[in-house]
Amino acid sequence: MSKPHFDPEPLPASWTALEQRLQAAPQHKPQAGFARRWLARQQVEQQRTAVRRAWGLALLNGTATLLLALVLLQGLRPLVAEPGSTLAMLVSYAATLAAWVLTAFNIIDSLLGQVPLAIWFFLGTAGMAVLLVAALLFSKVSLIQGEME
Amino acid sequence: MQQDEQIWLRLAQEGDAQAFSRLVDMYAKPVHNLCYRMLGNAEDAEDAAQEAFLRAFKAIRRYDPQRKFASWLLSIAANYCIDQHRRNRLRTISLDESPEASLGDRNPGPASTLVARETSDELQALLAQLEPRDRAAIILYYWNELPYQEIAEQLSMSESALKSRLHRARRTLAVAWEKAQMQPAHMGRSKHEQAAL
Repeated sequence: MSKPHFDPEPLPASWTALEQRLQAAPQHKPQAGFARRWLARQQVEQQRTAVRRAWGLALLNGTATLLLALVLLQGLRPLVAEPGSTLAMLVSYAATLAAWVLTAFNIIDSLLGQVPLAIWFFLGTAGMAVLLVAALLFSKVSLIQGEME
Repeated sequence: MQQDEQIWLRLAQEGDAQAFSRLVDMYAKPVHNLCYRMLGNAEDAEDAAQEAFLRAFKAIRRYDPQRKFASWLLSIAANYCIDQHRRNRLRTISLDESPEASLGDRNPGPASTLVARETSDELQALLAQLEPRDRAAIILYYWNELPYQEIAEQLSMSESALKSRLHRARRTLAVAWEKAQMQPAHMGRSKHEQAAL
C-alpha cells in the first residue's frame, strides 16, 4: 500500500518575492567583544557554581553534625540521668573486653611458641622475597607510566 | 580553520574555557542571528546567545565529534529560544509596531543602511507571526542554510513533519506579507518618512 500523497495548498504568488528577501537578508551581528563578554560571564557562572557547591557541602556537613550530636545526646542521656549505674556498666564492659584481649594474646603466644625454628626461618626468607619482587614490579610499572607520559 | 576548530574543541572538552571562547568568536554571528530572529530584539538575543554558549560549554563533553559542531550549537540555541518563548510568552511584535533593534548601529546611517534596516524590521515583524518552532525552522533553513535532515534532527521531528511545517510557515508569512503590502503606511514606509510627512 502506498503512502497518502502530501498535496499541500499552493503558496500565494507573493511568496517568491518574499523568499528572495529572506534569502538576501543579512545575518544580525552581535556587538563587538562578544567572546570576551562570554568568557567573563563563564567565569562568573563558574564562581557561582563553586559557591553553590560549597554551600551544599556545608549544609550537608552541618546536617550530619547535627544528627550525630542528637544521637550522642540520646546515647549520653542515661549517664546524665543515672550516672552511678551507667558508669558501673561501662567499667564492667571495659573489664570484659580487656579480659578477652588478654586471653587472645595468651592463645596466640602459646601457638607461636610451638612453631619450630626452621619454619620461622622459611617464613622470614619467603616474606623478604615477596617484598623484593613487589618492589621490582612497582619500579617497573612506574617506569612504563613515565615513558607513556 | 577546520583543523583549528578540532584543536579548540578537544581543548574545550578538557575544560579549557579560553579555547572554547575561540569557538564562541567563530560562531557568535550565526548563533546571535538565530537568537535575534527568534526573540525579536538585540538585548534578548545577546543574552540568549551567551546562555546558549554557556550551555554548550557545560555539555561539551557529551558532544559527538561525528556531528557538525555548528549544527549541534545551533540546536542548543534554537531549543533555548523556543523554551524562552514557552516560559515568558515574550512580547509578540505586531505588524504595526516594528522592533526597536536594528542592524548594529541605531543612528540613521546612509540610505542603504536605512533600507537594510527597514527590510530587517519587516522580516522580523513577519517572523513574529509564526509559532516558535516554525520560526526556528524558517531561520535555520534560510539564514543558516541547513539541510532538511539536520533541521529536523535539531527540532526533534521527522523530515516530512518539518517539510509540512515549513510549508505552513511559508503560507503564513506570504499571507502576512500581502496584508502588510496593502497597508503601506504601516509596513512599507520608514519611520523617518512618516515623520517627514
